[in-house]
Amino acid sequence: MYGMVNKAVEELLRRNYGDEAWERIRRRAGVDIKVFVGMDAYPDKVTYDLVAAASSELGVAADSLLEAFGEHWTLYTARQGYGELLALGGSSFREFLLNLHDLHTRVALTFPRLEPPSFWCTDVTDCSLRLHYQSTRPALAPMVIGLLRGLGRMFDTEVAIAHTARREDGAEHDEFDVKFRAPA
Amino acid sequence: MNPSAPPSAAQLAALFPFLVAFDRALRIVEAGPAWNRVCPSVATGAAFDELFCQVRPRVPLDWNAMHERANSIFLVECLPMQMRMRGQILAGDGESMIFLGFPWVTEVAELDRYGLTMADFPPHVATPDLLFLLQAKNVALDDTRKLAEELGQEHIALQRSEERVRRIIDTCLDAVVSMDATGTITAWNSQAERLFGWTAEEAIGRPLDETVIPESQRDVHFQWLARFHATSEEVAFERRTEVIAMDRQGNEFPVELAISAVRDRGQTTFHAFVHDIRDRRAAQEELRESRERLRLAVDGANVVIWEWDIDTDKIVSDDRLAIVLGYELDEISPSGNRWRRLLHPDDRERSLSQIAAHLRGDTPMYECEFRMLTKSGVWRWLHSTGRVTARDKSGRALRVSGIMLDVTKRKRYEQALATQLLITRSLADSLSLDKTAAPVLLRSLCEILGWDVGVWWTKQPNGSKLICNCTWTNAEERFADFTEVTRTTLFETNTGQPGQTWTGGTVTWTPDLSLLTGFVRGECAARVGLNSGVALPLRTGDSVSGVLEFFSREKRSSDPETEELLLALASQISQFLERRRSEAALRASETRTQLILDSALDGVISIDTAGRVKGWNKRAARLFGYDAEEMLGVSLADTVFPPTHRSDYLRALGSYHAAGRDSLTNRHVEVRAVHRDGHEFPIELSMTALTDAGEVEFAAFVRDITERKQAELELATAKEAAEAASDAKTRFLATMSHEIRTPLNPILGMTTMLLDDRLTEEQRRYLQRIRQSGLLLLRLINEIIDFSKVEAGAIELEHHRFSPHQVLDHVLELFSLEAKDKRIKLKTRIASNVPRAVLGDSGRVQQVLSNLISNAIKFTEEGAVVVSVDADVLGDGAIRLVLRVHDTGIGIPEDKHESVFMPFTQADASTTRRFGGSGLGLTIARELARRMGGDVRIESDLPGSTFVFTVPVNLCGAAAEVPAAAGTPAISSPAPSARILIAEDNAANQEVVVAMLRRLGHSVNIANNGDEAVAAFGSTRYALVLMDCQMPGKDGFEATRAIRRIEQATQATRTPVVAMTAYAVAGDRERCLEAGMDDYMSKPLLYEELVAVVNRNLRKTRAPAQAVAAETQSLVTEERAPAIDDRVLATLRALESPSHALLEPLVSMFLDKTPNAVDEMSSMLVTGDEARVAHIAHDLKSESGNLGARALSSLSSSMQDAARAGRLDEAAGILPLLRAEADRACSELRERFPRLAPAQATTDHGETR
Repeated sequence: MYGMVNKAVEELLRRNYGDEAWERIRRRAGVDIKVFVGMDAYPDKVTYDLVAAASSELGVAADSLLEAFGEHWTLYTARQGYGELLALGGSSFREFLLNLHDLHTRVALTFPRLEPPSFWCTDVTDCSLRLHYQSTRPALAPMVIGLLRGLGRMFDTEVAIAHTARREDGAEHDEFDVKFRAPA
Repeated sequence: MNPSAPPSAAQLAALFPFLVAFDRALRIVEAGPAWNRVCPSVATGAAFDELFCQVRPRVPLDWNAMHERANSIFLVECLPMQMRMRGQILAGDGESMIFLGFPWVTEVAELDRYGLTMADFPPHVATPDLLFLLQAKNVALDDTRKLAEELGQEHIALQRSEERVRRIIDTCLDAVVSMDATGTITAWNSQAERLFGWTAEEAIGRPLDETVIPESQRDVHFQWLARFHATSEEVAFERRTEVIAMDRQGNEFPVELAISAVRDRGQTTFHAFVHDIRDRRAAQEELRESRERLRLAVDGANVVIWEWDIDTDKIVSDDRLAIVLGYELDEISPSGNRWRRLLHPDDRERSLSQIAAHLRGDTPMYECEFRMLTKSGVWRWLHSTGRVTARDKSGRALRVSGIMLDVTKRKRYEQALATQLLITRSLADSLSLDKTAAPVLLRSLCEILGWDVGVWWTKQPNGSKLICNCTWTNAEERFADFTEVTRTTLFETNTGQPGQTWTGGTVTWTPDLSLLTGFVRGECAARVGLNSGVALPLRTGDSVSGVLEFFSREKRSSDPETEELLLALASQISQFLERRRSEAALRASETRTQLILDSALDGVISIDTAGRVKGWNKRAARLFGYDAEEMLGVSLADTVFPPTHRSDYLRALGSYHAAGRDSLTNRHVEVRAVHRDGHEFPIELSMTALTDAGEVEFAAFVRDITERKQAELELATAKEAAEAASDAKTRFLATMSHEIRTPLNPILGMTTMLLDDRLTEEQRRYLQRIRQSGLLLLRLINEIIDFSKVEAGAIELEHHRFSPHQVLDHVLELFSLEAKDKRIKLKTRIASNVPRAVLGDSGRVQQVLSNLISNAIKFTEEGAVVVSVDADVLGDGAIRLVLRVHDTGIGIPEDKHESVFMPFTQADASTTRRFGGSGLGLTIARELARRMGGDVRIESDLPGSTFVFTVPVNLCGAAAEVPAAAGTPAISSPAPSARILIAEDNAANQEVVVAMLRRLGHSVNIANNGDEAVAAFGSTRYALVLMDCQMPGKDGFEATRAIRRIEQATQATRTPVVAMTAYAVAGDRERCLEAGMDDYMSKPLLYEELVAVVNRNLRKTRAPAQAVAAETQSLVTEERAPAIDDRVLATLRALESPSHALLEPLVSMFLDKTPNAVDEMSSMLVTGDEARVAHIAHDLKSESGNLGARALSSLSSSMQDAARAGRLDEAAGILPLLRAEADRACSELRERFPRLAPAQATTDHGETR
């Protein structure tokens, strides 16, 4: 997993629960990495262990945490990591989602070890679309929901998300029905 | 689309939205679709070489050069955009070429700058990927920086910690040596350098064994290392062991060693802390040696050295204990328990608790004396000291060591001393050895010495036999037979135990009564179980007068110590008996003395140093109601002194004891005493200390002085009555003088003024007669008052700075008219050494001088009166002023020189009738001069006479600051006319003063009382206030205080206030000055004096005031500053904007509001609503301040303060000033703002009579 994801986890936990809580969670997860390198690839286990440790340390469901990470990722971490590049993704929520695929493809091209997920859109209208999410990693769909929420806030757009197909339920990949209403 | 066909122009444009095609003339024939948005200049028809320049390759932008470089990477710059393009030249049909390029972007920010979006880069273009990479690089760089920073921090922390550890190790008292697993030295601290002689540089890298381990020990080292490698067993780690080490020179020495092993990344390092214990070893050795030495030293002495191990209760001691206690060494088991059992039962608890206290740590040492049982059954005294010598970690004592000394001999000696002391005490307690006291003494002796039976034998009166005086036993019944036999037996010389002692005069011991043959009481003694006995002689002078005999059930034998003690006791008792006998003789004589004392008229009491009564005669018995029998031995203090006097008396006795002095003896003291029946009465007490052979006794003579006291009291009452009468006389004089002087005031004043009018000769003569009579009357009164003061010693002198010159000027001024009238010249001469300023009482100097000059003028018909002043230096900053008043009058015969100073005397009795006067003037003058330390005398030089007045004064620093009050020239230079306020309740006086002042050209207002004066002062500016002191309502003092407060509140200049008083009592002047007045005139006012006072006070303020205080005065005087500060108005105007007028509304509001506010304050002051006044004043303060009406604002502030503090009189005083200032401010504002509302009339309240 991308170091930036772990960074997002670290930042969110530090910000919301304090440095000491983060240290406890890190130790609980058995992670002895003190600084995550954003563009480096880490074993997925690191991220999963951190989420699990945080969940039990803080008594918060893992899905909720993941969702929060997703949102935090969009609003803070990615913005910090990609800087203005993120703006290249588009000037509206809809446009950004449509470019999401290219964005990840370029990341995959540039950083072959990262195995970023794939996103593509179908059934696109002015105010809705179906987002397909395919990843080699299990159980991260809640993070996608967080990502979408974060994007909605980024573009000042009301967003309604329905998780319509789940890989854990046997679907080939996860699908989300996304409805949105851009500001007037 | 056919994949093999070349792309159409449209397809090409879609793939390359930034393409530019141009012809041979380099004119653009086609521009890609993106140009229109990004840089519209790039369009068909434009010149390619004008819009672009070549960056790489560096070839000119011409057809051929470009054509040749087709397929190379071209970097060109779009000049209008300053945007670089990366691409290649596609040589087309020979008539045109196409530049296929894309903006070359290396920073995200550039996208924005050129207006590019992702859509501008078709998927085949890698520019966005490059941007991603660049961004990723930036992020990675950031991370790296952060990591590096963190590493740096950790590195620093590590360095610090290493440094700390290194320092600790370096300062460690132990040598610290580290070694790796191969036995090579890796660390070596400075202590190690010192200890082993190798420097760190040399030692590190060397094998440890060769460096510090002696060869003989190396095997152990290698075995230990091998075992560690084999088993990783942590042997001897972190436990201190003592081993032998070796230094560089090969010296071997003992060290204490602690080793710890640290494993780090598979490597083991051993750290050894090596402590040199050579010193400790040496100390141990030394201790052993010193113990040995001690042992040698104490050997032979009776010192027992012991050491007690508490846990095992084992006591190790040397064999001397056994020797002391008489046991063989193996007979005493070395246990504490055994020792404890040998302790005397009486001593056991005490000694055990003392050692327990020491074990707990309560005492620094254990020290105890106790008895221990010897093998022979005798108790021996031992003195034991010890100290805990080892404790465990928790502080529990483990071992105690100490010594014991056999102190039996010393104890015995102490006991003997104690016995003697006890006997002495018993003897002292028994008054005589009569039938009652002897058994008591006998009993004491038996008990102290431990005998069962005691017998006292005395010689028969004829001296032939010993007879039993008395006996004592500790078991009456048991020894009854024996004592009975003893009592009925008589001993002749040399018979039996008592007889032998009587004859030989020595102690006779009978250790075993049964062995004694011929002991008459032997059989009886054996029956009652008495085994041994002793007899001691009692001596009188050289002969034996009695024998003491003691018996015991124990078999007691003679030992020198006991014998010595018994002899000492016997001698002591003998001496006692001797003394008793002589005392008996003395008592007989005392009885006679007592008879004499009893017949004495005074009470005679003797007491000992403790205050107990020893003697008490009959008179004392009668005085106090106690018989001698009751009082003997009783504390005198507790009986006859009232509780309140007891402590004084006891203190006096105490101080006699302490210092041999006191407040009682050898003098007559009057104290209160208490009779038995409880009534107190005064006594006169005289005490004498009688010392007789070191014994002190006090004899007190006591006399009842009730009657005398009564007489004294009556005398005192009579004296008080006389003094009261005298006081009444003084008061009467003061009152009378006031009453007489008050009518004199108008008489003299008006007469003086009438004399200035046009009169007939006759009228003038009559008037002059009236005036002279009035002046005479005034002088008489003044002299009588002064004389009564002199007589009563009530003259109080002042001490202030004054100028002799001014005093002289002032006095001459007073007499100038009189002298002129008599056509006498008044001349003065002041010596140049007379200082300008001295310290003294200027008023009294003036009075004396006035008296002398007045006399001189009075007795001089023609010629001159010459006053001269000289100064004699006295030293110490003092001089004597010598004032001579010489006249050319009738003179005084020498024989009258003294009598003229007698009261009611004049040199010639007829002069009284001729010149008038009380005849007291000179008496008073001389008395005053003498009170000041000087004198008045006559130097006669007939004709005429010279009065010399000397007075010592002190010099004072600068001649400046001489108070003007001391006198200034007056009439010669009259003050300019001024407005003067008179506060005076008496209409006649008002008239006189007004007339006088008007004559001087002043304008005058009158206030009938203090309140009116304050109100008038508030409304009008006066140059001077003359203030009567006694007025109905607010008196002059209060009114002056109120005036001063108003001045303070308004920051006005101080207006002089001069007191006018009819009082002639000392202290008036001070009272006036204290109230804030400046000067003082006493009534009746003499015209001359009034002129002088008014002039000097007007001048005093006016001269400096005009120059300096113009601005302050401006608040209320005519030539004052504007009420409104224009600068403030200008500032306000500057703040205005065209749309927002500021100033005029403010002014308008102020003009509307202010007069009403002042009116309201005025009525609120009448109703006494202080809070409302304060509130209005507060508003007015800020409103007026806003508009630059500074004075009004300041007055409002004072008004607010006064109202808040409830000082309504003061507020009322401020109101007129405030009103005037408000009017002024309003009218000035109206002048400046003519458009605003017309003037509103304000009423003038500043009206006075």
